[in-house]
Amino acid sequence: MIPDYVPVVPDYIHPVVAWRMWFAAERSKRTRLISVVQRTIWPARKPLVAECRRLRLPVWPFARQSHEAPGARCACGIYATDMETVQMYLPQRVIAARGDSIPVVGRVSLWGVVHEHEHGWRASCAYPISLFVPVVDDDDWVEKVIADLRGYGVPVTAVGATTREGLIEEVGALAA
Amino acid sequence: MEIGNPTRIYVVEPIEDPVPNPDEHDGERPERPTKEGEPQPAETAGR
Repeated sequence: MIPDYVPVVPDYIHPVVAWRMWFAAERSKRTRLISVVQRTIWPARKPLVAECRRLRLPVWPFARQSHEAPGARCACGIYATDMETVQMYLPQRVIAARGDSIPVVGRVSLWGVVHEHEHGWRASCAYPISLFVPVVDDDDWVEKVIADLRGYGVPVTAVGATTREGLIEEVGALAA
Repeated sequence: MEIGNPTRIYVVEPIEDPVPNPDEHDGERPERPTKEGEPQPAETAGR
């Protein structure tokens, strides 16, 4: 059991770098990165700061107390992991039809309070480092998606893989 | 996302420039010295 105690003095000066996936989808006429589980929209040019969204009912006697994310006794926080785990969450076919959500794989920096787990991390703050987007067609929609994602100010690479295995292999080779 | 059981908690100092400045980097981030998943120890001791 990990205690709730968190040291004030930083343990590390460099962020944790790990992998995760998002869906890229249009929100307010711009393509944005969206978390897979909580559907959080990742802001461009601003770090994402975690907050616990666990439903709290004041009349429910077992309701959890409000807390900073990530909480030691909660599952909240911004998740990142290794490529093996990312692969499990990708759809078998990663190429999206025009207008659909596109699965995006990328690296993220994690900082602030970081809970390390056996296969990943939960953090209080995060921002993408690089993005890999599976696309096959070179049409105006794809161009817009790539251009919008470049609004995050990080390298965006279009990859030609159509399956999740192919995507992981191609991204692994490009990132090596 | 299934990431297994918790192992430890640590605090990572906020990074100075989490969001790249396009004027300085032209969209490219400088190489990070950190290996994946292995943050560097802080110079300040006293955990």
